[in-house]
Amino acid sequence: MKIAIFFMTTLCLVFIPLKARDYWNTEIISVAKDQDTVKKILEMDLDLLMEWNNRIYIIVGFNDFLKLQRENIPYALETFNFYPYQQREVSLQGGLNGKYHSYAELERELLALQDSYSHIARVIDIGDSLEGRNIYALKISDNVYQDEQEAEVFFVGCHHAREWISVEVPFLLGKYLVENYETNTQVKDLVDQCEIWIVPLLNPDGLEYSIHFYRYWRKNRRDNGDGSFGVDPNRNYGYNWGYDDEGSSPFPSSNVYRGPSAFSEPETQAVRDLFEQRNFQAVISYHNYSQVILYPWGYTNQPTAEEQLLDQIAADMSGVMQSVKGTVYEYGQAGADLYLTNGDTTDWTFGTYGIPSYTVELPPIDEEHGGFFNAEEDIQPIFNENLPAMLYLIDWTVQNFISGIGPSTRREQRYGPRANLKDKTQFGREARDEGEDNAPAQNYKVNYNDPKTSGVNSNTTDVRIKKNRIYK
Amino acid sequence: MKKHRFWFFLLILLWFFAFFPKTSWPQMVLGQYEDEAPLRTWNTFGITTGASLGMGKTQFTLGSDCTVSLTNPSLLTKLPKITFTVNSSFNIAQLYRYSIVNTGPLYTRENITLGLYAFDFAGASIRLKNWTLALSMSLIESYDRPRAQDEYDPGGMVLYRLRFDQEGNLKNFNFSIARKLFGNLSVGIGLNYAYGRLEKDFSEHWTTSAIIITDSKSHKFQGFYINGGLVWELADKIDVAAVFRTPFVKKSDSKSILRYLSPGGDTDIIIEASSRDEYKQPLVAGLGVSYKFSPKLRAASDFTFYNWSKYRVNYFEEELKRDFKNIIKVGAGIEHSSSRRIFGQEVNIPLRAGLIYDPQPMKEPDSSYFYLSLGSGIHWGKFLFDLAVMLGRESGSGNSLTASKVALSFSFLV
Repeated sequence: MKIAIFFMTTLCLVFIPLKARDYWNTEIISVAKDQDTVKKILEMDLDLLMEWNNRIYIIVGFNDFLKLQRENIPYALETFNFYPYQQREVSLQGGLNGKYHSYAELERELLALQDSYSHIARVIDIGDSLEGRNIYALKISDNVYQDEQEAEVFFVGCHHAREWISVEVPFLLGKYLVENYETNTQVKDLVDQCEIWIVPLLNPDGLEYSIHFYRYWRKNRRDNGDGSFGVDPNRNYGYNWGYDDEGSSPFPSSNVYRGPSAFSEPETQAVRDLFEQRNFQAVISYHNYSQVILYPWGYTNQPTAEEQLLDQIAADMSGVMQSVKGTVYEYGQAGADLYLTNGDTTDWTFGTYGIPSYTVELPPIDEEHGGFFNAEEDIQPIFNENLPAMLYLIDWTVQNFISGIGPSTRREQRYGPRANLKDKTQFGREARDEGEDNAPAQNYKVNYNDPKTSGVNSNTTDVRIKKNRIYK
Repeated sequence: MKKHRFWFFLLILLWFFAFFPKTSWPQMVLGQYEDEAPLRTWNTFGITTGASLGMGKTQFTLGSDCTVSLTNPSLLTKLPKITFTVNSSFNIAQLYRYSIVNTGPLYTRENITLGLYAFDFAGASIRLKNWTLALSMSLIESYDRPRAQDEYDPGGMVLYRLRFDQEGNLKNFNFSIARKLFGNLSVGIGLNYAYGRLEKDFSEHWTTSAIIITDSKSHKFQGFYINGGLVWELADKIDVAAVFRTPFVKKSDSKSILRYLSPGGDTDIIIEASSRDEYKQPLVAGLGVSYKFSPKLRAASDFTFYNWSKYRVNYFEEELKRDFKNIIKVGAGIEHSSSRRIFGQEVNIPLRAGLIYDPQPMKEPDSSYFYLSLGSGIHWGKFLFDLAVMLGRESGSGNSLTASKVALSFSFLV
């Protein structure tokens, strides 16, 4: 009996403080965005997170709750929107790659999501890799088997085989959206108003090689015929492909080999073909490492005509990411702030379709802290801090969507007839001389100079990239 | 006393073989980079001795030593009352593509030539009335790969170093029993316990930042299978044989440790995994025929079917793609024996020649080895020494790999 009492007491002593510590943690709440409320919360000096869907999101502690109650301001608890509703371990993994997904594991999980949430999730094979693996897209939307006149946004991961975390973040976004659709009104609103396309694994052959043979493998598995293998898919897109030999390499053995021609690789062809069929309004391509948000141009250090918009969205995304747990994602123009890249995804999507396009370089921040490695236990936190930015961009596309303007219209607004675009695509070097940076600015967007979240990241740091990084 | 010496000698050699099976540098599989590919060829079945190698690896109808227990145990009935055999071989082979070599980070401009020495068989047989028993240990597969190292050392200072190493083997413990049934028909069956290991280590080291990446995988194999066969003397001059090896699961206790160590960032990321892997080895079945032209001249041929289309690999909870096809391996040889008197004693000296066609199971590339073998020996009273050389070339992979093998066997017959 004495022993039982001793153990019960010990257990209580262990658990009570743990519970107490968690209870008064910070929470995220939302309040209605009306004039009176805004005035009150500004006076309270609260930690404002973002503005979304006509509500203001605030990070609050225990004392902040008391202040809100004193002022009789109604609020809704939103913390669960910023973390996965069910904080479960990623299932099925446990092989050589630990909790990271291999091709087969991802295939199983995507199909399982489709089976479980067939009304909002659909898995589509958008092409085959060189070694015959399927390149899967997960489409999430209401009426998922219909093409509706809705905003469309594209998330893609794992252009580079060794960047395992870049598979997980877009995949977990898909999982989060479908698992929270029924219980979270904001998620439901986004899914209902948008077609969200997620390609978590663009380079499956490279990933398998990275898992089984050489962890630091980067490119796809093209046999170049000279003893070397691989084309860098993120140097193989058709906008200013091969612009110079600094932003990509003509040498097959190089880690940034751009391939024999633009879109020579089935992986990039799959993305190109998908864009031909869809009407995307925004893009994020996930990579690691560096912990930065990059926007076009990558092939030159000259800014785009839409620098202000691209920079503002990046700033807002960085702000909401930082607010989760303080992780700073610097942001800036890729070519000016990091290193030159030509033939990459975002130059192509922006240059061809004129849509906000971002490369998010996920953690760690540098080689000393892991380089292309992340610990398994970092997967969920990295996703958690990226989730608000993803939701923000989806919301941005919804808010800025104008029905009826498709990619061809947008291209023509930007470049003129389609034939000219093909010329640019096929002859990247010549395209450089045509001065596409001088093309008239796109005029299809609403709120061009009035991004919805401007000013809400008041408690985050300006994290614009200020120094060049060495390309690994 | 003589008997005791023999058994003592046998035990010492068995012990030696069990604990010191020395393999050094081995071979690879063509055009693929599977770690589990055995030395030189996928088509392993039994041990090739000096006698069988000289005759195009024919072993189903002819046998002068107890290595037949691994392929056709029924031939044990044709051996003297007591036999003891040891065999060793030396392989020289070219390889081009394996693991990370010529598949990605490391590439060579030409084939890599390697050597392998293996003390690969020790066994004994004894006939007790109508039954013949045999016990042996053998090294049936090697998984070694040539070590690879790459260094970047501008100005003599090593800034970057990459190392790769893989070694391993599969040993086999066999107990066989055979007897003559009726007429000229003999049957035999063998129980086999296979066990071994495979260890693969990879490391990358950036010396200036002291960052080290290591990737270690280890496997401990074991499996059980049965082999058997029959031989039938159709006439004085013709023998036919049928043999089989059951399909079996080579199970593996596997472990993997992937590690990123960066003291500067106080970073030590480890991804560990362990699993119970399975390699479903295929059925092997064969037919053999031999013809005695005269007491001094005979010929033999073996046809061996490998059911590779059923080969499956479950590796760290994932079924790996192995696009294999069934194949038939063919060997044929001829032997001429002559007698000489050496030191006043009658010595039998066989001369052998053979051809081997050894197609590999991968569908892509469609690759095959063609070999020519030559052999000889000295059969001096109770002692047999057999030596053979095999020279071959591969076609189909585009790399024109060459391979050669020397086998030396020693048998003591009572």
